[in-house]
Amino acid sequence: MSTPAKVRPVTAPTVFTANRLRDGRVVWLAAGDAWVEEISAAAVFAPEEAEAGLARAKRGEAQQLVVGVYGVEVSIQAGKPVPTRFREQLRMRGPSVDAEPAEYRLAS
Amino acid sequence: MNVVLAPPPHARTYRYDAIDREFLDERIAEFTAQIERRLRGELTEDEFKPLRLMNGLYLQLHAYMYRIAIPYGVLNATQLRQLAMIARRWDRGFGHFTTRQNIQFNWTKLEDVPAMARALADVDMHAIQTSGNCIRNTTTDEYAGADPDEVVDPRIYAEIIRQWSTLHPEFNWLPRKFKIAITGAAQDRVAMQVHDVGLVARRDAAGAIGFEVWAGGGLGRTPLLATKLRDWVAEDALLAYLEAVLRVYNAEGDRANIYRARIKILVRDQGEAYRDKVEAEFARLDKTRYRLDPEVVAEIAQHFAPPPFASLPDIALPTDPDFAAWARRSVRRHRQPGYASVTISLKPIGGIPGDATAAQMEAVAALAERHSFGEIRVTHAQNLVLPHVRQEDLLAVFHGLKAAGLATPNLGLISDIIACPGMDYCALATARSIPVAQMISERFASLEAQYDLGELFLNISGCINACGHHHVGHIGILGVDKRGAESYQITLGGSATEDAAIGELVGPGFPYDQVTDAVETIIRTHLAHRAPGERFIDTYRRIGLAPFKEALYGIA
Repeated sequence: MSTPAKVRPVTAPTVFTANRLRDGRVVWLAAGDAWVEEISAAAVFAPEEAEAGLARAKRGEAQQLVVGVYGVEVSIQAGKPVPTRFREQLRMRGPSVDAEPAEYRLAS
Repeated sequence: MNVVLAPPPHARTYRYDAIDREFLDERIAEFTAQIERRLRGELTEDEFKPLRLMNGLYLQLHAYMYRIAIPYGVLNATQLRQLAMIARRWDRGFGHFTTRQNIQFNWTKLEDVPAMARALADVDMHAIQTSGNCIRNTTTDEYAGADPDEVVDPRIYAEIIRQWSTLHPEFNWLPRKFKIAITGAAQDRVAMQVHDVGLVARRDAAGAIGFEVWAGGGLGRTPLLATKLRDWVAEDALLAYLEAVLRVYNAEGDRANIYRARIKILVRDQGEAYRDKVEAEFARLDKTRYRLDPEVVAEIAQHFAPPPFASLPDIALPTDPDFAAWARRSVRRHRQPGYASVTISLKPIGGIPGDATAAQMEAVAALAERHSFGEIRVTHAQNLVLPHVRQEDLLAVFHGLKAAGLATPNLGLISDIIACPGMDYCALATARSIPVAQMISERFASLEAQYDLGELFLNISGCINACGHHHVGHIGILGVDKRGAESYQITLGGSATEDAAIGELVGPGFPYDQVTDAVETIIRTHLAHRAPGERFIDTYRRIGLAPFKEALYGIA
């Protein structure tokens, strides 16, 4: 159902995200082209650097490490990037509802 | 691999034969090889995506999601126990039952999928055709074989349609997905009129079986009720007629525009011309080749023969108040004296609609084995059913369910909410559904107030695709994105039963933190206007939208 988002100029600091190929988990592009689970470790690109950042992120797709790379606009709060869109905040934090029953938490 | 016990001897589920198992083994080997090639980087995502979707594997917001087919919502205890094992071993210890009578695992790892598929095959299950533009799981009445008003057992024909549609070479690449629902009862419990094809199995004066055929219903961006194509299609012509319905759609459905690709658009736009084309195709088809042989029907019917019911009288049920409150909502009359059907609410107050933990699945499996011939059904309202329980066992079943946290007596009430996973899980969603359901459930937690309110169906979808069936809820809530924030539009007056209707939009949307108040305002308006004994939907139909609009927005 998804359609490509309209390309609009990047006007805010941007981080790059994707889902990790082997387990689908949300990951963020960090320094050294590593993909990390914590957005706090993500590389933040100024608007004028976003195109170069996207090219770096796409290398992760080409290397079959990640799936579905795209940029996420962020604001910097207490020195850490925080997505401006609610959807990306949910991806950053995980579901807003209980995502595992207590018995599973105790067992794992 | 764990040892899988044989299915309970009397559970009426379709048992795979050698051909079914050989096909499934081959398919798992094929998909396993595709996954391995993907993980080695030999397939790109563009190449892999259509392959994984054909095998029920989505990539969602936080992880892969694996959607398992539960054919026509019928499970045996061994299968449910295996689903619990899968949830515990490869997921996060729970599963989500869907409005298509399937189950989804929300935290699947790609590398685990081959083992999960093999574990499913061990109990005659798979995830094939739970995605993609093909014929999906045919859904049916959760009380099939138990309902006192049933005319024809729909499971037999749902299984025939499953076999006919699985890997059907002509219909595996349709313009869009295709969903069939079938009922054989007087009351529509399958939302027949909002499916691509709806079938009503009937008997003529001589007792022969045939089908009323409806087509072109659906929800989503363009909600439409189905159009009746035929009053009667004889049993032996069922597959021929479905071939004709699908063939015309396959040829003429709009493949260029995804928003116009479902059969509902074709039926709406062509009207009588579509019906004429189906009839012409049906007339042209080789009836011998497509004939549904009565011997095949009889063979499949054996899988669903009644279990060995004992000769028992109906009895007076215990009067214990907790039990009586539960039984009033959860126990249903059965066609066999001395028996009852038990519906299990998966909607605890403040819980996640349709979710069950592994422990709960195991508890239900054990109760099914002990008290319901090993059978369990999944309902399109995201609850479970033990179809055949001795009335004398109902108290024990109640205590078993209560111990597992599954005895909330709220079926058919405002907290029995249908909700899609919404933006908490779904990549397509534009707003959250689950926490809205939880807030509303908690606001109306008082069971006394819910009983006073009476039957009320409240459905929530987290995007326009309408997996939460919001259009056909008495109260429907649709979450949308409004300039980056969640906004919830409310529709009133929908219905998914014989009097099917698409709800009317009441007005502008409400922010996340105001939608529960809005629902309460709607309920208060209903209470102020209702006649004695009137349900919400009846009040709405009598007084219309205006009083609700005025209460919500101060305008008539």
